[in-house]
Amino acid sequence: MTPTLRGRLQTRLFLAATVGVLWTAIISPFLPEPPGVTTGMSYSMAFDSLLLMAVYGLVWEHLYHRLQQRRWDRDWPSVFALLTVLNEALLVWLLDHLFPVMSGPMPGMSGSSLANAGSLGPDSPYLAGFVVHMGTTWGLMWLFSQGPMRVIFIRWRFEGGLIVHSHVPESPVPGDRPDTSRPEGAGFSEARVRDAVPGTAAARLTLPPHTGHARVYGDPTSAPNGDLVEGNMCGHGHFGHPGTRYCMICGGPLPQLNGTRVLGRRPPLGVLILDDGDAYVLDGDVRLAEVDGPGTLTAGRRDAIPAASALADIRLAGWQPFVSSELHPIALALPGGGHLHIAPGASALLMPGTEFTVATRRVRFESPYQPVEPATAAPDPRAGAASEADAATSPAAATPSRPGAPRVRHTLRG
Amino acid sequence: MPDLTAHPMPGSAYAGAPELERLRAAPVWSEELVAAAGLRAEHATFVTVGGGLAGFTVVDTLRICGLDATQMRVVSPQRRPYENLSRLVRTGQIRDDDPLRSDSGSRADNIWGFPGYAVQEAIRRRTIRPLWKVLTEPVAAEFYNPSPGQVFRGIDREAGRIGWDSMLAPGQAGLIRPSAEGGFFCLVHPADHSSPYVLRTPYLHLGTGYPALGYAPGLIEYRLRHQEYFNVVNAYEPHEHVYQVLRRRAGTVLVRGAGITASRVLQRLIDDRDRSGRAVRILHLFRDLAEQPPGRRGSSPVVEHGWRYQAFSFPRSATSGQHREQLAGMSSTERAAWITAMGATTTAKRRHWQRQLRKARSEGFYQALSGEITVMEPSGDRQVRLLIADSAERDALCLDVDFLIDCTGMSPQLRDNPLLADLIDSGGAAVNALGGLDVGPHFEVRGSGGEPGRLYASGAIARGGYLAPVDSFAGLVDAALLICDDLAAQGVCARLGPRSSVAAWIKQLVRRVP
Repeated sequence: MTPTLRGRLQTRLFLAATVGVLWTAIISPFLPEPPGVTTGMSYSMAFDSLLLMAVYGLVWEHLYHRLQQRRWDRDWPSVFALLTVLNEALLVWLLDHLFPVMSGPMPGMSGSSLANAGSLGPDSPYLAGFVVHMGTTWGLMWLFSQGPMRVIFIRWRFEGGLIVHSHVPESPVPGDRPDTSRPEGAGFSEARVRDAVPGTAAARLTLPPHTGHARVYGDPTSAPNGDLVEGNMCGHGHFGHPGTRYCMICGGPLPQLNGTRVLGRRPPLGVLILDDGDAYVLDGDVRLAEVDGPGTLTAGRRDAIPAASALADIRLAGWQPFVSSELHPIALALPGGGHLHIAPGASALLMPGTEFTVATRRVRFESPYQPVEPATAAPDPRAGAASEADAATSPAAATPSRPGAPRVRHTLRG
Repeated sequence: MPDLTAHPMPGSAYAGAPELERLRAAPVWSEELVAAAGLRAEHATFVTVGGGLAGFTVVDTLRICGLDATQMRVVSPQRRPYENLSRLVRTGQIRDDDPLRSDSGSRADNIWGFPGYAVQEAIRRRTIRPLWKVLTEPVAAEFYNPSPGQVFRGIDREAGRIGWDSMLAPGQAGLIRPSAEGGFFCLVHPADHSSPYVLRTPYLHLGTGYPALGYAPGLIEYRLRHQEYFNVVNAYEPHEHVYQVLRRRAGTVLVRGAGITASRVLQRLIDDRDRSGRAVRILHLFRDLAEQPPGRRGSSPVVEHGWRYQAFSFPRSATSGQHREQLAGMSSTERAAWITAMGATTTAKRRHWQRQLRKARSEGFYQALSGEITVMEPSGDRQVRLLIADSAERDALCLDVDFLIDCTGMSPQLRDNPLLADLIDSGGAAVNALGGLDVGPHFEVRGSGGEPGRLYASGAIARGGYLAPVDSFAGLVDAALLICDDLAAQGVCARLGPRSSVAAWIKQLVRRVP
């Protein structure tokens, strides 16, 4: 809580009147007072000190407030509130002797107590009781302000320590209403956007919700076969993944539930990172091969590399990439810490963050298309081999059928 | 090339059946109109739209003030209130146990802020270190910062206590209109893709959060023109591949921005570099290295090497104290100026970051640059060519980098959210000088209609109102209390006085249903 001046004053008086009074009433009989000081006198000295602390504290608060104005952030760290007991107690001690609340001999005093009864110094017989009383009372008041005050007065911490709080002005301040801004030109035509954006002029089919019928936008033949996927359009007309919240191009929101589903050309799905740090953008089916002999791993378009030298293939089905190898088993280290082994011929879904090893080569897949609910809704990669076609979200996407593929052998650890 | 960012196309993405279009065209709805459209209508005393932390704090406070869970509905596409936050926090390179830029007493799951995160951590880990930190902050120690893990666990616990799941109406709000009979209608598209329906409520709250990730116009143009998504990335989108590549080979990366996210991204890059030993060169682009912040007086050097240091987005006195009080008395123009000046891009001065950057500077792999990127295009060998013009009007600097991580912040443009754009266009809300929804002292949206019902808005969309740190945990709770006070004044719930507050706090402490 960073206080305002009114908040300071109110809080100080409230704490002294509640915590201070209660604690003083409890502790006064047990204070280490010199012999000859009765319980009644002890009460009187303690309460007088408390009163002086509260009243002169109001002056101190003005000083603290001035000091606070010298801090650019107008903050008042709680350790300051704790440590100001040092200067305040010193003043109260002096005032105690000035008025005098605790000065001079008491009946029944003898010896050194009697001799030092008027002393302001450390040999005063009243000092121990004063220190214990002031220290504990202050400490408790400070502790109370650190927690319980917030519980009793829930708005106290927001209103700078005000207890009797004034409401935020109900009527607007003069000149408060701004000119309401209504950006002009909100009616951008779709054609204008599409024409202005090279590469997004691919065929788009809209699929109005609950109808099952698709509408065609543009020329479906302009998109390569198998590259059409179902997705959403952001408010700026950019096509994106149906499960992501923000558009990959402009960062605008993608409608998740109430948008018209659109068929559009699939953007790159992610990056394959080879063990030497080379990155390959996954914008179509990819083949990993040791083209130049063992030692150099190459990634290239699947149809450009002969199957004979292939280590593994990554094929895209809808929005999801699947890895498989005709010759080698593949070991996958999943992002959650699990492991999955697939036999030659089987395929597994690649989730972002998956690393797979094929014939000693380690490849990582990263993608901006993270599962929407990382913890619960991540698709099970083991489902990949069994229902690769189902996993594709697009009816127009490549849905490779693999009859007779061997069953996945998996060991799931971690 | 036309500016594609400023004017979203109305309607195209949200086109629906003709009956919905008829509803969209009507600025005020009535029971008959909704019935004629063949839509099912449900009633609730209070509805919040968004389901993030802004909605959570309001619902939590209302539950504490005595409103029953059956009387409230939360229209949300997310199951947990922090789902979107946690995604952004992770892509912004803050792991679950890293410090957030928040303090111990700012809690979205505890409207009293007591016990704070520090006390909880001290008990859980049986150590007094967090308490010592809170005691001595910011004089002898850095501010205590809770971690995302702590925050999310706390919210899960409180969500379970108040019955959050039972209030959820999974789906997305499509349209909001005042009702001719008073109150509001909210069209909901259910998450299970069943038919849309309408929620009817006298009191509606909007907490839809940041409408969009603020991509720099240059980044959008680069993506559109070159269809390249991986060498130039925004820090708030998943970009793990950058770190993974640079763990495996040497390279040059340019980080743009000087906020807390830039600090975190730099930490990740340097941590990875230290671990992998790869010769990764980090260039850091500031808009202006020598710029001095306005309105600063007093102690402590706040500007150093181009960074502006500030513990939190706004000084703590803007959450509670003098600045909050001052702001409440300002006119909207003064407020906008104050919030712009004090809410400028800053980062926290953490010793770990200071040490790392000192070392990086002395070893020569970190270099700070100043200027604006004027040209950005792919170059050979999968790199990006950048032309950087310095404000000092020296010759433009030409650079080839492997990656550019853009950490310039999120700027809420309400119109990016189709729901809010429609609300503004249909006359149900106005925009303030800073681009937020124009709200009153109790976060009531001005000019919303629907009287005697009320429309409220809090969180990031209420930026520029009476409260500066609207999207901080403490700011959300403050807003929730102000909204509930307003609702209590209208007899919807009880006002939290000292006795009821203490009783409710004890209930929360012993985890009893409010």
